[in-house]
Amino acid sequence: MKRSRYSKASLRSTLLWCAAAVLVCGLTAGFMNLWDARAAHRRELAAQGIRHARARIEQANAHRALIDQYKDRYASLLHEGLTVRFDRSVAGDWFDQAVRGVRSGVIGDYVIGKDIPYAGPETAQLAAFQVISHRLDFNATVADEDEFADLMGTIEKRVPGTTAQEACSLTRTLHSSDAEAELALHCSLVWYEFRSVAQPTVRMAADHE
Amino acid sequence: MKPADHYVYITGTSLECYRDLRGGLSPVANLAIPRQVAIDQESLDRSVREFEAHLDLYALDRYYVITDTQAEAYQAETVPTLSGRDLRLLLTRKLEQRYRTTVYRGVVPHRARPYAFFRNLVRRRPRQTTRILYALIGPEALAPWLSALENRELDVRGLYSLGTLMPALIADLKLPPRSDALLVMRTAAGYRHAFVAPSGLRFSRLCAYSTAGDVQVGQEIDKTLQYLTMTRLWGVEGRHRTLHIAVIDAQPASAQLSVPGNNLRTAQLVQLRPRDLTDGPEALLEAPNSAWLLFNRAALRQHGTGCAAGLSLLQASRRATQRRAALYATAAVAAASVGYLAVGASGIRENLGLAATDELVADHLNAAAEMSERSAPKTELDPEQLRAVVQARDRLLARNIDAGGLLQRTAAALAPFPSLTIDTLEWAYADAAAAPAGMSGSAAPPGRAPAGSPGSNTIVLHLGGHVAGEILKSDANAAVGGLAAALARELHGHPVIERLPFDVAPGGTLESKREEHDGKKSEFSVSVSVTADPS
Repeated sequence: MKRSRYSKASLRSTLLWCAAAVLVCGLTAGFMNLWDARAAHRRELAAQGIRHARARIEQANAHRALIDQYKDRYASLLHEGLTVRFDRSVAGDWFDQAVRGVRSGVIGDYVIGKDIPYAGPETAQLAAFQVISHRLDFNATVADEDEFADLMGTIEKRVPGTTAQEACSLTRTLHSSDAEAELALHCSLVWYEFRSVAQPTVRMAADHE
Repeated sequence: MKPADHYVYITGTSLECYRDLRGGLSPVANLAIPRQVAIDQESLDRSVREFEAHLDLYALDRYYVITDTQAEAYQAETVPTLSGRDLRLLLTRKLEQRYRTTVYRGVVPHRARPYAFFRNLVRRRPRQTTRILYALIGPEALAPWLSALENRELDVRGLYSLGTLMPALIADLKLPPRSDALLVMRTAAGYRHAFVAPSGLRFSRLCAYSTAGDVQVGQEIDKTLQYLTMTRLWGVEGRHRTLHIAVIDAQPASAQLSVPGNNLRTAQLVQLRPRDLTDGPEALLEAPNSAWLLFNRAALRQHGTGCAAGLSLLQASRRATQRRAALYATAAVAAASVGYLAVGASGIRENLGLAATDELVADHLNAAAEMSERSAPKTELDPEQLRAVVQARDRLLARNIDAGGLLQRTAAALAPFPSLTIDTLEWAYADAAAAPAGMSGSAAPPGRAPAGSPGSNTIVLHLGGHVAGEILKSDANAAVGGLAAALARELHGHPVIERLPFDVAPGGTLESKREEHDGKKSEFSVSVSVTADPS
C-alpha cells in the first residue's frame, strides 16, 4: 500500500520541508539585506569620494588663487628684506641716518630694547614665521606741534623695515629763562622681524637700505 | 491526479462512489454488499478489496461518507437554553448516554427562529429548546468501509446520514417561508422520508422497497403522517400549518398519489423529478437513485463532520488541513521572500550602478584635482602662509599711529574750550598703556609692553592739563566733560574722565585757597579708548 500523503510521517516531512524553505527564505532575505547594505555602503563611499575630490579641487583652486594673489607680493617682500635677521647696530644706524637731517639737538638719547616675541591678532594665522618686535624708545624736544609732526613723518618715511610708531608722550615744558614753551617727546618705534620657524634666517646685510 | 470531492454512498446492499469533477458529479464505483454478511463473508471481503483498490486510485481526494440505511435512530431532546459551549457539552453527554453502542452519533443542525430569545421572553415560556439527536446504530455494517478509509489515512471530511442532509432540498423546492415539509426521495435503498420544520429536520426514516409496487409510496406517506401526528410533530393544535409533501422520483409510479386529510390536517402533495430541481449529468437525472442531489458542499455546509466528530477517522483530514496550512504559509513566506528579493535586487542593482557612476566621477575629479595641484606654481611656503605673511605684514604696518592726524583731531576737540590748557598728551596701545606709565629722565617710553604679551588693538589717548583763567568751578568741570565728549566724538572712542579740576566725588573734598586764584592750577585728566581697525 502506498504511503498516504496525510500520514503522520508525511506531515512531519512536509513540516520539515516547509521549515527548511522558510529558513532558506529567511537566509536569502538576510543575505539580500547584507548585499543591499554593502551596495549602499559602497555608494556612500563613492559619494564620499566625490565630496573629497571636489573639496580637493576647490582647495587646489583656492591655493592657486592665493598663489596668484600673493606670490608676487611675497617675493617683493622677500626682496625688500622681510626675513632679514634684525641687528640692533644696523637698526641704530638706520635711525641715525633717518634723523640726520633734523634740526640739531632735537633728538636726544634713544634705546633699542631686547627682542620680544609678538603675538597679536595680526599674526594669528601666521605659522611659518615668528614675529619678533624690537622697540626703539627715544627722547626729543621740539618747538611746537608742527615740528613734532615733521619729525614723526620723517622717521616714518626714512626708517626702513616693517615699523610702526606705537606710542608717544608730549609734555609742554616752561623754561624759566625762556618764556617760550617747548614740547618734550618720549616716543616708541617698533621694528617687526619675521623670523622663520623652520629655516635659519639670513643675517641682515649691513648696507641694506 | 487532481484532488476532488469524493462521495461514498453506503446503503444496506451497495456502496457507490461519486466524484465531483469540473463537468459535474459522476459515478466512479458501484460495489455490492451482501445482505447476510455472516454467510457470505467472502463476497464482503472481495467488495472491501475492490473498495480499497478504488481508494488507492484516488488517494488525494476529499472523502464524504453518506449512509442511507435503516439502522438509524432519531430522538428529540428538550434541553434548557444554554450558551453554545455548555449546550454542546450537554448534548454530547446526552448522546453518549443514549447511544452507547455506537460511536457514530451527532446532533441535527438546528435553525433558530429569528429573535427566538426575545419571543420567549415575551411569551414567558420556560427557556428550553429542542434538539434532534441521531446515530447510526449499525456500526458493524460500516466498519469495513470506514476502516479501509482510515487505514489508508485518506482525507475523510465527515460521515453523514442522508436523512440529515435532506433539509437542503427545501431551498430547491421554493416552498413558502416557515412551512412544514415532508420530503420523500427515492434512493438506492428505498424511499427516504424526512419531515422538515422551520427549525430543521425533525424526523427521518428509510422505507425499503417492498412488494407493494406502485402503491408503496402512498402507503408509506400515510404511515409517516400517522407517526408524525402520534408523536405530536404535526397536525396537533397550534401546529396545523399546511404540510407540503414533495415526492422526488426520477421514475414516478403510474398510480395516482393521494393524501388523506381532514380540516385540521391540510397537505399539498407535489411530485418532482430531479431535473425539476437542478441540472446534472443526464445519466444521474434519469437514474432511480436520486440521493446524488445531496452530494454537494451546499448540502453539507451546516453539518461539519456529521456524526464522526472526535473519531480517529478524521485524523488524516486534520493532518491534511495542517499540511495545507503549512504549505500555504510557506508559499506566502516564499512569495513574500521573492517579492523582497525582487525589490532588494532592484535596489542593489540601482545602488551598484550609482556607486559605479559615483566612483567614476570621483576618479575623474581626483584626476582633475591632481592635475590642478601639479600645474599650480611651486612656492616655498604654503599658499595659506603666503597670504598670512603678506597680511600680517600689512597689519603690523597698520599699527602705526598717525601722530599728525591725532594732534589735529585733538586740537579740533579742544577748540571750543579755550579755558582748558593741555600740559601732557600721551597715546599708546592698551598693552603698553597698561604698563606703568611715567617717564624718567632717561629714554623711557610712555609705556613698555611686557615681554611676550599679546598685542592689543585699542589705542588709549591720555590727555592732562589745567584750567586757565577765571571761570566758575562748575564751568571748569563742565568744560572738561565737554572736552572728553568732543574727543570721543572726533576719535570714535570711549571717554573716561580720570580727574576733574574740582572734585565732586561723594568721598572727596573741595578746598578753596586764596593761592589758587593767584596762579595755582586746577588740574584735570581725560583718556579716550579707540579701537583700531584690525583690517
